[in-house]
Amino acid sequence: MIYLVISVVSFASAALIYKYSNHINCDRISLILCERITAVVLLFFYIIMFDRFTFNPAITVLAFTGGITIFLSRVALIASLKCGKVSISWTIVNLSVVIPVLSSILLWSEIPSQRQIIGLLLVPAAIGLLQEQSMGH
Amino acid sequence: MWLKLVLISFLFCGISDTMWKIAGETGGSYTANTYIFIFHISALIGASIAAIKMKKKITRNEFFLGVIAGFSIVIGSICSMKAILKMPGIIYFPVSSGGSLLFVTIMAHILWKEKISLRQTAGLMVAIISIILISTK
Repeated sequence: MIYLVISVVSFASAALIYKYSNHINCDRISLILCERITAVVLLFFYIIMFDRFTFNPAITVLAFTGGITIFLSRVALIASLKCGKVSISWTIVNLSVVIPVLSSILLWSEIPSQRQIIGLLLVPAAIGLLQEQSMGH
Repeated sequence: MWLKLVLISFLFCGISDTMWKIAGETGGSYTANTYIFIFHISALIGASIAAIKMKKKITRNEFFLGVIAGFSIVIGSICSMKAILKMPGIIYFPVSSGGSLLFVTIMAHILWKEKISLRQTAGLMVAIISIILISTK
């Protein structure tokens, strides 16, 4: 349970740091650059000490695409926080869990459970409710 | 403008999550750390190219906030992997997603006095329920 609590607080802290960086007019690209340098250095030492590198072409291509898209996502998120509430923006970005589920349905013909179908249907409703007021900023 | 940026972030984050899902099905859990390492390197390459093109200079604030965000993300990633291995998904996913959203909302209220309207509170609840339903089969 302690790992779960630490992971929740850590990820949420990153969102709060993004918001704070806008308050003190930090540049978003420079911030992400420092963030990723730190992440790469820490992970390198973590893998050397506790795991091992297992490179293969498919994983490399997927990870590279994933990294570029998360970079673009973070640039847009930090830009959005200049005029929106962090709690609302973070909630909408977290709803992106819907995209891998939809991909599984469309690409691999996975059949979603009844609960997942209800969850998928609730996503547009949640975005619709959350967008009120923040648009006016 | 706010909504447009958040939806761009939502879309790219979703594509990134999809890459992670495909990698999980392709390489299994033993490639997870390597995936995350390459993932951060590619995001770093993206940020470096953007920083060089825009001739960005890193200020002290950007450096410190970036380092803290980098630490948060790596600690969060390692702890979430350990948590997934130690507890059932039916507990991990709801607590992880719901906890993160609630933590950000509460902290944003304490730090920046962000006020959430009744409609947005309803949206937040719908979002949490939706994420829980999608994440647990």
